[in-house]
Amino acid sequence: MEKNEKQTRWNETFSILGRMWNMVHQYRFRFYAGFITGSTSVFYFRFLESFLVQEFTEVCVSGNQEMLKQSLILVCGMVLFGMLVYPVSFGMIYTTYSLIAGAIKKQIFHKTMYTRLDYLESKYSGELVTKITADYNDAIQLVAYPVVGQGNPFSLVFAILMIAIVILVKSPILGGISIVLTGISLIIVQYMIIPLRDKEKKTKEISQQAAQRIVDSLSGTMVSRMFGLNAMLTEQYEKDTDAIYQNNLLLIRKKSLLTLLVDTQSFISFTCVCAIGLFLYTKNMISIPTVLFISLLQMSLGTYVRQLSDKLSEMQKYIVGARRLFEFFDAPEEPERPVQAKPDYQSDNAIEITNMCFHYPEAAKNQFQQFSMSVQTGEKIGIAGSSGSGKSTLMKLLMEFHPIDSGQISLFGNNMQHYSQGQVQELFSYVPQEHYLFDGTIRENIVLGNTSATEQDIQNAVANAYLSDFIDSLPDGMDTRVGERGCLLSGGQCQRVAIARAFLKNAPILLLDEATSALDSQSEEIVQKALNRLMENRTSIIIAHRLSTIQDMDRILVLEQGEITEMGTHEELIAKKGRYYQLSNM
Amino acid sequence: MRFIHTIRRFMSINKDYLPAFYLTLGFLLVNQGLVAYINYTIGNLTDSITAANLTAFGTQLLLLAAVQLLHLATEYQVNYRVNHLSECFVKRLRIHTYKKITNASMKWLDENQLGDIISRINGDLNALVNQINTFMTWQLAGLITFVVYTAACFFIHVKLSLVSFGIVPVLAILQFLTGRPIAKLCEKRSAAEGQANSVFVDLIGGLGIIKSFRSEQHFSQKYNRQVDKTVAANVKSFSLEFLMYPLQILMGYLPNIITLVFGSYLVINGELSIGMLFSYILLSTSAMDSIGSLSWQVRNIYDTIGISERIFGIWDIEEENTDGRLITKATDIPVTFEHIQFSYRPEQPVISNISFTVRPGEHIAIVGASGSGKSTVMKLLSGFYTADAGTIFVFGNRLEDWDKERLREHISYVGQDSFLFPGSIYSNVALGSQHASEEQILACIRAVGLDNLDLHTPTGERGVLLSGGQKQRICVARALLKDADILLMDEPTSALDTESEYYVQQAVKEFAAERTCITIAHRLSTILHTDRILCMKDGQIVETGSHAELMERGGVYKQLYLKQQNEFA
Repeated sequence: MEKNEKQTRWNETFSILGRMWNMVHQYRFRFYAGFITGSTSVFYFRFLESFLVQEFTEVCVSGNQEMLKQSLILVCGMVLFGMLVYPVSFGMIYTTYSLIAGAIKKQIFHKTMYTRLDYLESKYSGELVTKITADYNDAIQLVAYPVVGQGNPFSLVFAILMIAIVILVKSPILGGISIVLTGISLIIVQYMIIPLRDKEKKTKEISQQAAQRIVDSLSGTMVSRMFGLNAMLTEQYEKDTDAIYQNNLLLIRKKSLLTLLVDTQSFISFTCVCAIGLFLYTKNMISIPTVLFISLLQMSLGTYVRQLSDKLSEMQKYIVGARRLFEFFDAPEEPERPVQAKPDYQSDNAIEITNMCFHYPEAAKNQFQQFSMSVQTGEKIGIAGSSGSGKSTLMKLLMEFHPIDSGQISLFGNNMQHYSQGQVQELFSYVPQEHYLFDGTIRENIVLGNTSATEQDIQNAVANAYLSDFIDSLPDGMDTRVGERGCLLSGGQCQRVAIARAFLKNAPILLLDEATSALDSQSEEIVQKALNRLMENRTSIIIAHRLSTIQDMDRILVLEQGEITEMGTHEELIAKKGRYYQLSNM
Repeated sequence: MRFIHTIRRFMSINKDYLPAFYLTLGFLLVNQGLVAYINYTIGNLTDSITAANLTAFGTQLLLLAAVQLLHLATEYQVNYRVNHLSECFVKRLRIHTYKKITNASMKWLDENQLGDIISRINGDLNALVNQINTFMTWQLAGLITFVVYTAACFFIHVKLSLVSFGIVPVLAILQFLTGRPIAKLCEKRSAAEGQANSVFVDLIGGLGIIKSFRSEQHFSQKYNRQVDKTVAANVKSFSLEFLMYPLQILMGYLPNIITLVFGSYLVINGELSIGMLFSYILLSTSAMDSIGSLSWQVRNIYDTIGISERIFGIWDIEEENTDGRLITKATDIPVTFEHIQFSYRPEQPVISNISFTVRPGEHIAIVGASGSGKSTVMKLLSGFYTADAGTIFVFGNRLEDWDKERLREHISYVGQDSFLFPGSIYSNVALGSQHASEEQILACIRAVGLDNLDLHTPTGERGVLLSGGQKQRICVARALLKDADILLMDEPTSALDTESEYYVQQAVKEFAAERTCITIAHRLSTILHTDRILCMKDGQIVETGSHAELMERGGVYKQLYLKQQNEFA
């Protein structure tokens, strides 16, 4: 059982490394060059150092001036070789690394753009950016690992093998003893190091929690001061730091002990090798320089084996990140449906929903159960209902942000499935709850509505959104930067930019989600005027939390828990004295 | 000098660890001394072997074993002490910094973007924690190793040491010179990377919009261009960086080669025994290794100073004024403003000359266009800002004279942004009062109509999903539970759905009818029955009176009211 698990884990690791390797494919020549030189670098420099000592000791023992010169030339040659080859190859490796990093970033972005929103939401609930970035960093480490840095696992494996071979060739007896001693040290270390990793993980977890506490106490500073919570919050934070401290203290004790063991072991190995070497020397079986050479090399052997085990466990973590990233890359990307029908704008009903069922992946209950409704072409519909009744979800389903479970949605006389996704999107102008503006100019943000719009179209849209005066007052006009998330504009101005965007798109159906909330009355007035203009000659569906906004609608639907409980004009619903009446009197 | 200043500043919060620090230094010195002695003995051993002196060899070997045992003991001590001390420093640092930011003045918090502060603190704090660990475990030990081993080298052979260490200052200068431009390149690279990242963050935030406008392609191109730019910057900086690399390799090997060449020459001429050369090489190599790449050290120290100074910047932030000492009410009059003036920035007055008095149990509403100074009045009253001129009295005491915590015990508050702490609905409401009973908490939750939800599961992504209205209702329940003399509600009814609005009003009616209430309102329909309405415009109170009185008066309030009626009628 356990063996099988291990087997699949290894298979998975290899398949992920294989995929990583494929990503590298387009830069393979740089990569191979970097890989080979990078992998030999550790050994090369280590060998060089020990060789240096051996050469000069030999000179000393022989007392030969001529030999001193020769050794000097040889060693200088080796250093020079290292000086020329390795920098070039490292340069190559690092540039490959950034190229690959760039390629992965692009692919992540592409994928984010084209993956269905519901998949993204279920996979990376909440902090999409943070989580994707973390996965990306892990994955990129995996590429970086084989090529970058002198401590990569491949270079360590290579160094370990080469050192073993070299010392065995130089002296089978001493070499053999060194290898056995290293093996013993490895077993001791492995046995002790595994429990340490759990402790390290725990420290990390608490640190994250502590960091989150800083976020909370800063964002909630008004609340915590007004309610006198500072002392309690500080106490919680102190508790966290103390937990980190205690946990680390345990870790330190164990680690110090481990270091002690490792030191003792490597000292014993070194003394053993020296002592045996010297003994062999007295028997004339080996020269002093060779003893030095081997004892120096075998010291690094133990170090490398320990490093390798660290690196491999680190790699496990990166593999997990890379696996998540690849899963993301493998996410279903909807193929564009073929165009099977053209919207009939003369059709009686702009929207017709029949027997629609839908539930959110994580939710136990259906949000909509056998839901049906229709909207006539040109009709203006208001939707009321308490929070969580499914108003916003309905809009998202119309725009295909989520696929419906069953039932049918028809738009302008045809099943939505008979249109391509592009056609569906062209039918809607969406003004969402949050008026998100992108970092860029006002023009860029408006043109988003229709990238092929003429300057005249843009000017008209700006005028219709009552933005002309404001834009004229700016020194850079339309080319003023809005700042990240539109923070340089007021709330009302942001909304009007979003409305101008919708004007420019000029789609037959307008979807408006609580657009007028959280504004002061002056800004609201002008936003409302712009919206009224936007609704002219368009089929419109408006979600409003305050019923006053939708009193003039042709028809008002009251939605409760995914069902239409009441329907009619404002007057009719008031007269009915039902839920709507109740809501309007609250 | 900045370095010394940094150390001094840092040690100011760690004074009591100073003896432990010196003790650790002592252990480090002894330990490295023992290692140096071990290396020296290894040379002696070699010499006795080459001289075929077996008695000497035996004695040396015993000595070596004894010293080694001693060394292992000190080694453990050093390891443990260094790490332990570093953990102590880190713990102090975290708590000290945390306390500073939780006591920061509201002015400072307003002047800085919250997200910015948070990422700075968390990022810098973690970085500094790592730096402290690195400094304690590597740099400090490295420095001591270097000093002790160098001394040992001079002890073995002065002439050889002069030659082999003579090159060190030259190399140091070279490394320092090359270290700066490399550091600059790195900075440039991370700046470019940061830019690409922020584009990514921005675009993901607006994903819904991008999809609804089908602008995926446009944004992909935009992002790809940014990435290409980053990659190009990377490639360039790496290429330059590795032009410097041969120099670094040379610098690594030059001292060794010089030592070996000159050392061998000395051995051949009989000035140095081969064993001593061996010891010398062991010591000098370790000495060089221990200070590592000097340019790395320099960069690291500069980094540490930079990060520390940013953290010190947080230590230096203006704290909330806590001079007030009064802890009891002088009169029953809850609030009096006398000729209050206030501005965030000079020459831009937010409040100009406001005076009003609130009677016990009175319900007051403040209305006015955004930017008229409504929220500022509330923040002044809570003691978050100090007025530029004029006096605020709360229960008869001047605001400055109040002990801030005691003052706030009399005030309950519902903010504009419904902030919830991580935890369940129940635990968030319970925060309102530390000594409320379970029944009282549940009563408040019932009053705002949330008793049908799961009260004990954490809210948020993975738990109970709440709408904006529900969050606000939790905040109201929390404020009601506190049951303070004064209830402040900052725009509680904006952005609420009709149902939430209803519950909030009912709950306030039920729980706070007898309390003094000050409400900032946007929807004038919600304040028709308030005792008194203060209508603000441009930082002044322009009208005061009940709804009926103000309508009759036909001024600013009537205009506001009619405008809202028209909009929604």
